[in-house]
Amino acid sequence: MIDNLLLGFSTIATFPALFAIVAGVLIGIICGVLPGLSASTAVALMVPFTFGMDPVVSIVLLVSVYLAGEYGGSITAIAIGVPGTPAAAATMLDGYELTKQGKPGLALTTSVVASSIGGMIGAIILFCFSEPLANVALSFGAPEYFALAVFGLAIISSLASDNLKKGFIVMFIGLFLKTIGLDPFSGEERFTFGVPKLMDGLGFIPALIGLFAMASVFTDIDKATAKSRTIALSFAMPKIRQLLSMWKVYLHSSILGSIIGVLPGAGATIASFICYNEVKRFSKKKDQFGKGCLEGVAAPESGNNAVVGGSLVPLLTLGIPGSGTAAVLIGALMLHDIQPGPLLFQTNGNIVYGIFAGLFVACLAQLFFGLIGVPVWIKVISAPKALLLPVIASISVVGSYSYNNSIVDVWVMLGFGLLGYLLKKFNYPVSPIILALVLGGILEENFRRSLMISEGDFSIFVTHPISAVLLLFAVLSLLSPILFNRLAKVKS
Amino acid sequence: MLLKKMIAVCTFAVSALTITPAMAAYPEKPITLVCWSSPGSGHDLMARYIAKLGEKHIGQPIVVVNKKGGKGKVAMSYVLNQKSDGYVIMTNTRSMTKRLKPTGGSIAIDSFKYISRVVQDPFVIVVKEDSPFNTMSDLVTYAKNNPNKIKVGGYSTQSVDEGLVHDIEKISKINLNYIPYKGGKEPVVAVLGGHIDVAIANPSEMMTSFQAGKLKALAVTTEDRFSPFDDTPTLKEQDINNVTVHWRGVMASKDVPDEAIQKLDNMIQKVLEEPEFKKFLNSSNMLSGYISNDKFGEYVTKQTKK
Repeated sequence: MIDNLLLGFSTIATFPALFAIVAGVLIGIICGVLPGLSASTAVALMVPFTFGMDPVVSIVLLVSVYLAGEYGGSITAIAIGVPGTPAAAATMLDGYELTKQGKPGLALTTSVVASSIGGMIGAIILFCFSEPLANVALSFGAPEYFALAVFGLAIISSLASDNLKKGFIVMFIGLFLKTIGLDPFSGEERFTFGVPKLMDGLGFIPALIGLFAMASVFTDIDKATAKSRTIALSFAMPKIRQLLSMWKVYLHSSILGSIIGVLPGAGATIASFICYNEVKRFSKKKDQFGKGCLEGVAAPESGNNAVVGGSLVPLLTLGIPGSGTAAVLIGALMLHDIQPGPLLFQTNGNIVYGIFAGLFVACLAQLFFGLIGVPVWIKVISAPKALLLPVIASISVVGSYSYNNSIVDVWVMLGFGLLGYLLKKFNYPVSPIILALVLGGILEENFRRSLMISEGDFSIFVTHPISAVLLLFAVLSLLSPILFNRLAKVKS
Repeated sequence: MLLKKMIAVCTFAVSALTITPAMAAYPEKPITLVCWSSPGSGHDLMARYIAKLGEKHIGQPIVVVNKKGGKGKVAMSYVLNQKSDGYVIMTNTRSMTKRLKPTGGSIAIDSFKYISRVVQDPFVIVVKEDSPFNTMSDLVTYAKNNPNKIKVGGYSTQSVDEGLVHDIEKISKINLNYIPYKGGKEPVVAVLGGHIDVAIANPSEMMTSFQAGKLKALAVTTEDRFSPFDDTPTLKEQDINNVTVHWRGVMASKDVPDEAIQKLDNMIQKVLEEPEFKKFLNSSNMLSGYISNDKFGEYVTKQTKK
């Protein structure tokens, strides 16, 4: 084991490899910050540049971009309430609250620290447990994925705990919007109105940009005047003791994030929300979540960066991508004549252990550049709204266009912008839509696939143990806030 | 060595200078190659290799543009809406043309000219290492006694995978339970996890698990056996008279002049001979599947008519 570790670090201890890590981290952070460029798009864009590179250097570069991209999304989520990546929508819940209170430094620093720790724990888990975790990925069939999606949706009860009814209304709007496109089994068109672009459904990234970025522009136009500034911001940073005291949150979320990362198809967004929910469930200051709680920033960030290590497990051991980004990585590996799969550890051990080591070093680089960046970001968001809003609006348009080179996506973005604006105006929570859009497809597809496999027998969902347990958790997590409320009422 | 290279470059430059004016004008500006899948996919990589290696053969840069959506419809309608001068061409696949009608409507098989088929991607029918099936006839016998009980996973509905399963059902007079998946690798994962019995997969999707001994291959769907599945008989050898391969190629809108089509076809033929392209095919487990433009159109029409 020590030999392998040394092999890994010696593989990447070359100037080009270290340079690739630093460059990858910087590129990743920048792509993460720009809405529309998610971590997976950033990696896909980098692939052509790696054609001529040494395999180790190119793969380390891509992994660094992936890791830092997942972190970078949280910066804008905290700073201006616009998640740069889908997973950062969970970070925004508490992060942006802190900015509104004039304390962005607290959230930004916590985010980079939690991300980097999450990434490192993810790398360690990848190194130590790749073999057993690969079996977890295989044990998930259609009913298990369905149950996971139900469990994910049940989080709404905690995201919208102050008004469950509104939360559910928004969730069902999201689930409905997710049905637009081709039916996954019969291939029939649903609500596409003859627009070919809509056959693939509403783009998720444009929807995200609309719901948060464009909607915040609309909302601010409603209120702001030309001279209004964002609230006075302090450069206050969290105390080291404060950061250290959250070690349980980092550990808990990183382990959870790695496991979710292992499951093909689940990915960082689900991990972020589940980690947020679980940390809140076990936290002593439950009532502070959603009002600017540092734990609420740390949990999703540790979680979504741990996903990176986790998603590499099925990639390296089975040749199956654990996330959309990992799918792109497989393509890049194959370009270099490296077949990810069960034999990779024997045939290309240096690459496998080089990736572990690279991921680890990339976390350190991310911590370093992330911390340097914090004051810069605070400066940026201190700009007057009259400057900030047009910039956000134009980045939103460009970002959603560049997602697929399609003007339809810009309309989708604007539509979601309007929806987000209306929801905010009438005090409905926005995040349940994100959950519904992420999970709706997994939910429907695996529900129907399960029934095809069982020939219409519904008991398949409870006779499979993993699925039964997840469904039970879902019911408990749905009912718990209602029960707690009852209890509180009885007490008082 | 250096001298040799210099001479080569000079001769190339001189010949380019002398030959170019003699040939017709096309192409006098960069060519756009529209690809209907996302960057980084196998399909996209093929387009990028054609672009990279084709430039020196056609004398103009080729730019790959991704127009994703609607199972290729977005890219097709984009190409059909451009000037038919041969400067905007696109990649195509069997699954894409399979969904089109032979004629009529805004997009049909006869809206295009087919430049050349580039690669073919055969199918391998696989089961888990501990499956009771060792040959197709084991599978057929079991299916005859247990209709609809064997769960066969493949990529998507109305796809080439599903067509293959239905063909096998028809020829062997059996009923299988076809389960569509969203990606090509998912059915293989489901077989490995024991969730379904059989998967229809392209070599690239199952190669590593097969080499590690976690999968057994029941049959390949080509005319002849191919490496590294030399021990796996074809469907034909097992009395199932069927050959099904997935393919990828290049096409242009139907009004593009034949001369341009011919030049593009020649370019692709040369690209296929490049060692770098051969290496790409090898590493992505695809076979060369060149069919020239005079036969490609007929081939596509034959596969579409139902």
